[in-house]
Amino acid sequence: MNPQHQPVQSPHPQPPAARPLRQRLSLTATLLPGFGQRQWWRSVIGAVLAWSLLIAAISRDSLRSPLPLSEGLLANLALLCAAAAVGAVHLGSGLIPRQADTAAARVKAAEIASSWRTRVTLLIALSAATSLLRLTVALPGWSQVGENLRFLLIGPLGAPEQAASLWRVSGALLLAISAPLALSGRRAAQVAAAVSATAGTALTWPLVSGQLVMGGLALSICLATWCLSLSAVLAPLLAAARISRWPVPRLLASAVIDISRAVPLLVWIFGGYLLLPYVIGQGRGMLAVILAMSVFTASYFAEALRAGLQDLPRGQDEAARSLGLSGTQTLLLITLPQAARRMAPTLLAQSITLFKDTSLVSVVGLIDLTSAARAVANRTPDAAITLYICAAALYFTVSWAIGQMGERLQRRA
Amino acid sequence: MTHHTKAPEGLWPQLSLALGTAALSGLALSAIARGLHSQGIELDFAIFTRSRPEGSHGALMLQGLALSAQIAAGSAALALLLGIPLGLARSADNPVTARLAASYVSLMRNTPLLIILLAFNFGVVPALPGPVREWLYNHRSEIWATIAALGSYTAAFVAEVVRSGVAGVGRGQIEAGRAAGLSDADVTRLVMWPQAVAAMIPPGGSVLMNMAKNSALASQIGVAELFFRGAELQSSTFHGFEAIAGVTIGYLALSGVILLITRAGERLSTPWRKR
Repeated sequence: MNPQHQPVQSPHPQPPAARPLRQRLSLTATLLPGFGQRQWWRSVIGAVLAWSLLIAAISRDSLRSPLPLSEGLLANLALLCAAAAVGAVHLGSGLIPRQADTAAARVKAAEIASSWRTRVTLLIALSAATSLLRLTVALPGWSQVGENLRFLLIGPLGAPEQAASLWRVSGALLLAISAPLALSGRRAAQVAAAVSATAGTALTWPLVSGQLVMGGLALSICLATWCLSLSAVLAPLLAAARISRWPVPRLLASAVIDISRAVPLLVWIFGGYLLLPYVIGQGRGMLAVILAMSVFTASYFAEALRAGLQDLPRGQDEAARSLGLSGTQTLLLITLPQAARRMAPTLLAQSITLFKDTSLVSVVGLIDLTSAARAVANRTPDAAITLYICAAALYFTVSWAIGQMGERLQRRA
Repeated sequence: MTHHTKAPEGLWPQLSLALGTAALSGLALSAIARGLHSQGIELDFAIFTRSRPEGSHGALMLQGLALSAQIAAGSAALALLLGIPLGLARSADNPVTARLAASYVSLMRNTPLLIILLAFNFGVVPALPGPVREWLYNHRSEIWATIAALGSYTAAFVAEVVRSGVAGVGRGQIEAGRAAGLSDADVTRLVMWPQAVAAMIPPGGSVLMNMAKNSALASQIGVAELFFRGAELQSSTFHGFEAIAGVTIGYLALSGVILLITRAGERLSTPWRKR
């Protein structure tokens, strides 16, 4: 648990340290049986065992009772043993290091994998997981989810009378792709991102600018991408102003950033939707919400960029200036790209937060994924928990995928 | 870079920026005021103090602020109670424990708080065993649901802070402690913890600040906290500008208090630092 339990490093020079064991066990490997394992034959066994267990658990009626351990003790025990076996094979194949790893790491891995502590916690974890899985399967309301899945994904656009404009939803997919591309930090990918974001906006904007037709997950994705693009323009300006030598831009930027960060996003969205249309024109509630969310997000981005800029060695700035670049050129070409690359993990996390925060637009009556789930849940209170689990799973999938893709692209860049 | 002029450097760009910003915000404000005026609403900040039978709007807002602060305090307690063990589990040797804690953190960080809140209020509370549910229904269940949701959500972020705080203590510190003849327990107590805690306080403060702001989401399940009161003022009197100004000031105050607490914590946790 604490670092001091680890052995003191030997005086011999170590080869470049292998990544710690638990980092090598990716989330894919842990959660999705059979995927992302190091040893393919073990992963095949693990996958077959785990998936047959899953299917058996779902298809057996006696296991669908809402109280999992109350009846059928023998069946439960058998299930538990099977789960333990699957878990041992499945997790074990992830734990065993690759050939490239050091001998010491292999020994350590075998030691940890075979220790009683690990086995006992594994058993407890697995029995809890099985119970949880069975509780979830036994929930009422899965049929409601099935019936309303289309509504959750695209909102009112799924209605038959909207069939003519259904093809435009492909723009949401284009927008979804553009975000991780833009975060990759490579020029070619960023150009592609700009193209797909523009095309996606052109396709989907008619669905939201007038009467709101598109909703659900598609709307959440579009909102997040639009706010992300606007913040990407605003944030560098704010960051540059914040560290300016001149007091006026510095004070203005500080005021914007500090007030944005001290007030909940909910207040921003509500206030923007209520008051901004008086400035930008009536009937532009959607644009007002996007602007308000963008200023909020840009403030967080700007703080990250500022930290990155201030972390850069002074030599970068001085070298650029001595080559004859102007202050603006230095910022745009030399220091800002480096700061963005340095702060990429923070910016990525903030982008995921932005996607999650689109769930707040339900306050002003937009039908995003959360309000769609809420609307269905209000009609069928018994299915509420199932619907929310389903919506959470959709959010989780998208934001986790953004995170994974962004990380991978950053690593390669 | 003009070196030989009498005016201070960058006077004109700065002056025009200041004037431009002032003009733009003036225009925006007057547009808002005109827009509200055309709907028959005049800006009127006395609306907070005007007395009404059910209490003035200002008093209701203050009640809302107090409730927000209570929710923040309750959630903070729960978040620390859950988050610190989670963060330690996440830095454990045991791969199963570490994985479980990491999965929890990943789950919470990739799911919107609003969904978690709705699931707690409309899914978990009705599914609780009878007597507990009855007690909750009689004792403002939505506040308890908010605290549970906000606390368990924030716990994931607290866990991350704890993990990076523990991981941030240099190996050399531990080894030096052991070389000085301290026992393992003493190294933990005297060398590792003080440094880890000092490293945890600033990011922990910003986690708690975010949590206090997130408490505004409670309005979505009908908790009459600060944002709820502001929205209520807007919908009953259409004085949207005043309502938003009031809510903003309230949250600024709440954030300010948390900032002060964080600063005090920073000072207390680093007695070795000269100030």
